[in-house]
Amino acid sequence: MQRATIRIWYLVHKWTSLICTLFLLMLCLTGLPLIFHDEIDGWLGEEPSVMQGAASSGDGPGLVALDEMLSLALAQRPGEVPLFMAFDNVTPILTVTTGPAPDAAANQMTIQLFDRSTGEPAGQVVEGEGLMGFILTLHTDMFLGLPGMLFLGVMGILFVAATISGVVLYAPFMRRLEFGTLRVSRSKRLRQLDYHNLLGIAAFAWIIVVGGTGVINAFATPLIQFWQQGELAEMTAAYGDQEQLPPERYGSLDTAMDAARTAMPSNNPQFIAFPGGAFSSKHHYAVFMQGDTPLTERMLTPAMVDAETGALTDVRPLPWYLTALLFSQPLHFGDYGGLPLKLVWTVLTLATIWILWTGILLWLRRSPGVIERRVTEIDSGGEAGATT
Amino acid sequence: MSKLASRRTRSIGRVFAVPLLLAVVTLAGLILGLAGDGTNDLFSWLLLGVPIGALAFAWLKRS
Repeated sequence: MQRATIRIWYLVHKWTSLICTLFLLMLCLTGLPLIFHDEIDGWLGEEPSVMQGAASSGDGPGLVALDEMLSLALAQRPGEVPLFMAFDNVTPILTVTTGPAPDAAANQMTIQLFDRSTGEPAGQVVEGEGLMGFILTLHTDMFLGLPGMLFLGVMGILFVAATISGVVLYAPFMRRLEFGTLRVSRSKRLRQLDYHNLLGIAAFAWIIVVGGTGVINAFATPLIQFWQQGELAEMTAAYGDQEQLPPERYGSLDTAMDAARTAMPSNNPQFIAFPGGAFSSKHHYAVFMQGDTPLTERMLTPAMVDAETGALTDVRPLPWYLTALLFSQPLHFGDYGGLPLKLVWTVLTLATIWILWTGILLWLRRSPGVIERRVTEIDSGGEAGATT
Repeated sequence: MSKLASRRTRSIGRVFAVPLLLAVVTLAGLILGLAGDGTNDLFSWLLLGVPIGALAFAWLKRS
């Protein structure tokens, strides 16, 4: 690699890293406890006990009707309207989200848990409460709402760029060195350089995946809005500019579910979005059906059902960018493969923290001098210019 | 510098051989875990253990 080329990539690496590093350190440090979100909630007693019985997403015997579940939930929250109903594929747990209005903001929502095999209530969740809620909000938007989310998304893009430029600089640095070289006894700087390079190159595929999916998650709100104003509006175009359907005219959920199941006979629902929210039109129950294999389970197909009559309007799989968003969630959280996968996430997050930290140290403790000295250092695998 | 100059430089392909292998193994592990439970998860853990094992190996050989 030409010195001029190394110089360009070095400058890209330096500036993309410098801008995002402190935010990335915050994201890694808050991300560590979030890996064990479920376990920690369990210890703190904030997790509902595991239920036995038929999965709530099914339609077999032994499950209470959806209309009955909804009226049980609304009886607990007088004056509120239903926003979401969500199902589980393993246990009879069913959640009903309510709020003061059909377009209520997330912080005004209440989530109630029920056992669909008995109709018994199983607790309430208020979003963002407790220690883990605090950490999650810090990690998602730093308490700044949508602007905070988008800002962290941009930091994520810079982090991905920093990672890629780092991988490019690995080439000249390692020209004369074997993979895994760790020179720990010669100088502090050489030791930091080798750790930075080794950890970075060993973890880089994971870092790109977790960083990239974090960016996609950060842009979830505009992606969903784009879909709602585009494809979803097309699916329900016949309803034009009609006013919001008043909640007292909402029809039977069970009729709507039958219509969705008739359209997709071998699939089960993941959740229902009620009219007027971010995931539906002003007139429809959006019944989000999941695929019927472990891989396609995460791919959703909304069946738009007229909320008043229960008649099907249209069924269309989600576009690629929302499918990407749906796959980005497990790939970012690492919650899809049991405890061993969470331990992998922990080790690689710690490695990322160490990469960020050694990166800061290498920048702080650089010997004063022009960029050329850094270029020489990279070009020689740390042998030149690493005497301090 | 003479010792440095005498050491042979490696091609880009050689430099990135192990990193590329680790990247492929990591991606395979991540996707395999997503595609199913049981055996899939087991293989996913084994594959994702490889980059971590490579780090441990390098650390044992540190000089």
